[in-house]
Amino acid sequence: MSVIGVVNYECGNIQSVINAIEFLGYEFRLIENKEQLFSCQKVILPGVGAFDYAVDALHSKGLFTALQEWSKEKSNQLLGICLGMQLLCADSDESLENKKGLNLIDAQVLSLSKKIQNDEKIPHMGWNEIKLITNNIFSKEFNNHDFYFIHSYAVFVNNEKHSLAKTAYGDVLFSSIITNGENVHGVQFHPEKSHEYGLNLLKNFITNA
Amino acid sequence: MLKHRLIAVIIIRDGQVVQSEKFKHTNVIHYDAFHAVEAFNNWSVDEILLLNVSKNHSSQKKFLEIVKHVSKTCFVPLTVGGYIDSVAYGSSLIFSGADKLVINTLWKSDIETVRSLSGRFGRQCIVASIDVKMNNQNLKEVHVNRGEVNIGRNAVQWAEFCEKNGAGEIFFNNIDHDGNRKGYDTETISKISKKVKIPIIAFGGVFSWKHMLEGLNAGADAVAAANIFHYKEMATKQAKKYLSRQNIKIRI
Repeated sequence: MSVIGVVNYECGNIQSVINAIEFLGYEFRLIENKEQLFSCQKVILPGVGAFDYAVDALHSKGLFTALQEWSKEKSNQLLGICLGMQLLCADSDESLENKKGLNLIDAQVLSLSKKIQNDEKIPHMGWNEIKLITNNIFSKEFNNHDFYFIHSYAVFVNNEKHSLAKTAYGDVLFSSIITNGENVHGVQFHPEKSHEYGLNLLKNFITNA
Repeated sequence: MLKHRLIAVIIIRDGQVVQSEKFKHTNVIHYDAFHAVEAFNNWSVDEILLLNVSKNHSSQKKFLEIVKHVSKTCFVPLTVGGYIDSVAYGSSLIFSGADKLVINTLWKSDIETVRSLSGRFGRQCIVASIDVKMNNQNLKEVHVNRGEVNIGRNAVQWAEFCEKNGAGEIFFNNIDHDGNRKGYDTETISKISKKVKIPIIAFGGVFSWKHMLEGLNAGADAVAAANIFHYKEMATKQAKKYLSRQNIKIRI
């Protein structure tokens, strides 16, 4: 049985992701350096916290370039969650120092407060539905179901083929699932905190991707 | 479309789940928080909030153990608070499986520590708990230290202060309404919601599902209750059914 790697950059609550993996009956391995990363074929990049802090933490553990290198091997599967998804992009509005993201998916991370025209609250916090654009490894069973979101920045793809699902908040439509079309995926919501459907989505990543 | 949230609050004193009435905690409801969390998780509640209301600071360690234990089967957001007085303790709660931290007294006693926590984990992780109580001049004022210390500020000013200093959300309660079955303090909720841009969770006083509707109509983004959920089987599902029939957008 495959072991699921969980990147630990001491940024926030990764215990929830671990709890979900264990609840589903799989083993996890904490990834804190390059060797540990290359010992796994399925890896989750969780995310809570700030973009700059996360980029620095990945660099300081040697995981930044390691993740770029590791994901070139197409049999390796990566899932970024929330900030972990945003880290897959080239850069982010959130960065105060213009730090670069992993640049694995051609997309931008923009501030929701700049995009939203009306008085919707920021962060976008709570349960919201996803609209699947194409059928994919995350499967159509999730279409129109609610997942738990908590974020102030959102992902906008440069090429629509990289967007697998979208979610509307106020008058803004952002990508809630993205992919590089092969082995790198990201979800803006927290599947590990989205109850039954969230656990099913994680299970699909573990078993199908 | 974003849904309103229904939040189950579990009040814990010395490891046991208790009922709260005007911040007095006399009745033990469950002996084990784990079963309460498990039930709420299964009843499609949108978020679970654990509050440590023990009398002593020494309860920190036991509460941390509880968080670690309950998070194993909690697959909705888990928000926790009580006696968060340092970056170290706040961090240990997060690393034990909490998603958000509820902070009350620290806004008054040590704003630098709050800012550090907010900077480290992001403001979406910091919930400002604001408790008001009527003083003898009929003015509602903010109280900290589990309702014991009046800081002489009104709720709207305090909410704006918290928002400015790193809060991602407001958890509002009126101590005079707490456990009193007359509904939320909708007057204050409405005033706060007109002044802050972050989400507001209404808490304190729910005795009917209609009270929740009133809270949302007053401007709350999420509605929370404690006591009522413990006494009805599948209570959170019933509440959601009611709200949904009233055309409230809520996850069923």
